[in-house]
Amino acid sequence: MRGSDTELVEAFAHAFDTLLRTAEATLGAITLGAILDRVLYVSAERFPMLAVLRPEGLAVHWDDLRERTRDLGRDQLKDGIGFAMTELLTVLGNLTADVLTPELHDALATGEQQS
Amino acid sequence: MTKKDIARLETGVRNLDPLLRGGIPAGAVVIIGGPPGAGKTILAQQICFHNVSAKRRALYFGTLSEPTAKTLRYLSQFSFFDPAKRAEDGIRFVDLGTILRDKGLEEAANLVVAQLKEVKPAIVVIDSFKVFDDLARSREELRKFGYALAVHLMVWETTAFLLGEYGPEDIATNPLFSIIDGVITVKQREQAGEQQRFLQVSKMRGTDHSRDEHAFSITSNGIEIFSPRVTIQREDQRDRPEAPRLATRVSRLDELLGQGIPLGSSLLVAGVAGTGKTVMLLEYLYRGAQAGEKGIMFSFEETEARLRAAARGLGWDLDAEIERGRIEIVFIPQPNISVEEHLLMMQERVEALGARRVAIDSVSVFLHKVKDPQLAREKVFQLASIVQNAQAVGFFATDIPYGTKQISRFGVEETVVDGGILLTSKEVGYERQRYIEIYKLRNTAHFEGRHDLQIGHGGVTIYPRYQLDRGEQPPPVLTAKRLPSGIPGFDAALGGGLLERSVTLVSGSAGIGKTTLSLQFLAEGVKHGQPGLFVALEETPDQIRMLAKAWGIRLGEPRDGGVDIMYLPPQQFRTNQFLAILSDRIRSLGARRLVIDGVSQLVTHGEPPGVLMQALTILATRFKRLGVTSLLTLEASALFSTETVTERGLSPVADNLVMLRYEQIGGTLAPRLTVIKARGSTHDRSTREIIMASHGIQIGPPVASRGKRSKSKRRP
Repeated sequence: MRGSDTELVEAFAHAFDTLLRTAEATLGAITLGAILDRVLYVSAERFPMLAVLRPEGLAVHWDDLRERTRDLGRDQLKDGIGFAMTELLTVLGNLTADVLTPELHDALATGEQQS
Repeated sequence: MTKKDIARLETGVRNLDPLLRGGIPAGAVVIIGGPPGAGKTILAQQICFHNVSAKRRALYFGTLSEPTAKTLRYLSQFSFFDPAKRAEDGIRFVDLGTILRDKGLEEAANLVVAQLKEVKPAIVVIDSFKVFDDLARSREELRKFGYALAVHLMVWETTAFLLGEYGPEDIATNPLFSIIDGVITVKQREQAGEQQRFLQVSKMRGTDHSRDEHAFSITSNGIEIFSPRVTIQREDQRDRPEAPRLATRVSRLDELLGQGIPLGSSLLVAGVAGTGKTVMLLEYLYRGAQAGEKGIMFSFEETEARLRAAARGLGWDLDAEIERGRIEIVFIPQPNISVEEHLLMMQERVEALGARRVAIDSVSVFLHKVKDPQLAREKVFQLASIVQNAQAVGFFATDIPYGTKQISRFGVEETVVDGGILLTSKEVGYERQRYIEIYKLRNTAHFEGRHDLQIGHGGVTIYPRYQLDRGEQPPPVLTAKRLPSGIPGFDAALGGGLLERSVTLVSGSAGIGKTTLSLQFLAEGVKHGQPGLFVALEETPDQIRMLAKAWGIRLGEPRDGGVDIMYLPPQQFRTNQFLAILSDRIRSLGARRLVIDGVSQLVTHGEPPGVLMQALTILATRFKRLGVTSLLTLEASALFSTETVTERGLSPVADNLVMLRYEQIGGTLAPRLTVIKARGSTHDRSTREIIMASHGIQIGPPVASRGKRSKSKRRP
């Protein structure tokens, strides 16, 4: 079970990073950094376990979360990382009037296939 | 993919959202610029308080320009300031001053971001942002700082207002202006002789905004913007059916206006001072109220109390109509006039009342500070738009400059209204004669030219000028019906009596019996249930009644269907007035027989030649249309003349021409009667004796030869 929790985090991290890379080309580093800052802050407010997630430039440092999976319930983990993903997509959609949304969804789908 | 409309933040500032086509785009970063005291803080605060709720919070950052405590103290005076909204879950006031002073821009920016995260506000205000300009060590630092802050504001989906004492020069040079989404400037300058505040939207991304300067004031309610150019727009009338027309019910003004005034129209009521414009406007509202139509007057010279008093003096019960809510009078003292503000006020008041009649007294005073004719034209157009949108009818008084031929103050106002009424006056002897003229009324065949007007007890009285109605012919005499004349022997001479609706001219020298003959004609009508009207131009009603009594001629009483006697001395009535007065009386009496004794008196000195002919022609036409059989007496200048009627060209006027003259027989004068003309009748052209009998005149048989006289009673 512990291994599948880790895989869950890996899958989420991969998808999260895919979205960030896709959006960077359009939004730029500063904007994307601010978006990431917001998403992580709000996610940590809602799910304190996600407070361990830290931005590293335009990426996220996932190691701390990977190490904490042994202390977290699977449902709690799924809810938390699901919220963070949803929050990222929502903020990106709101700020761009959903112009990027189809492209982001395509990137996610491609990423799933590759993984 | 369907396009999404940009969500907008309502400002809550009166008339600002229409300028912004609905409000400020949500998420925009907007600079509010302007000099100290221009109203930047009030504007930002008003927007905050309007939008803040438990779910929509605001962050208000104060910097070094004004301590927060002082800001709050002054803002608490405004009606929009709600202390409940200033709680932690409403507007959070944060002082940036300390951290800026001690630690600089970056730390201040971090504080802003930290507050954004914690509060997640819908609105952010930074007051003043200009201080960052002053504290930045370089333009590059300012640009980076501004950009980073703008990004965070955008990411947290706040609508942000950055206040600062920015001027026009900053727009071109300040790097901040390249990253923001909107610029609103507030300023103050002199216009039309007074200091006026203005707001201008120079930029607002995603918005087709107004770019004009718009006047505003700061009241206890906060900022109120007056933007009549935007908010007073003519509604599309194309789908509306043809507008019904309004009858003014003022004297005979409606006769002059033709079919009436189309709803939505505005008319100038123009004249120099003292020509009766205010009375005209007041009566226009009063008569409308009596008919159930609501009206409103905007007065800039006379107070409501003075207008009420004037109305009482004219015999109106204007007070009752005001109490019933049918009339409103709004007085704005001249020094307090603010054109932009009061245009919007007028629009609101007209709509609130549901006014059908609008009076403005006067447009000249309302726009007295406006020097530019084109601006005056625009304002009059906006006034007319208010009236049109309300589907009312507007009467706008306007002063004409003395000694000019203009019909308005600027000479341009008449180009944007639908009609015009011109009031003039002229000295005639010791009197001043008033006139009224309809010089324009769109889409309406109105009565042209100048007409007499009087103002007295009861208000305005208009006497339309004599004029044959266009294209209309008088109805023909009724050849089937003959009326007995009441003069024995006269009917035989006429071929059986007078045809109904005929006009008979009786010409004769003084004292020959014209008046007696005409009284007998009316008395005969009374016997047959035909009320009569005797119009005396020289003698008083008492004199006429005495004459009738002396001859034993029974006239009866008007209230019982008898004969009414009117005294209309020509020196008191102009020709134009005569017909109007007469027509009214005929209608009110239901008169079927009419006598005008001495019609030549109708024409006064100075009237152009042919006026009598014209007057009699119109009288004759009118009488026939009213269904009246009439007899007009005309005094001949000479005892023996037979030429009075024909030489004056009056023959075509009448259906019957009767001549009374004296014939000298020996040493005496014998009165004679001859029917010269009887249209539609086979009449007797022979000269007959006039016999003065005990009960009036009788017409004897044809005179066979000279020298024979019959015995007759001499006239008393």
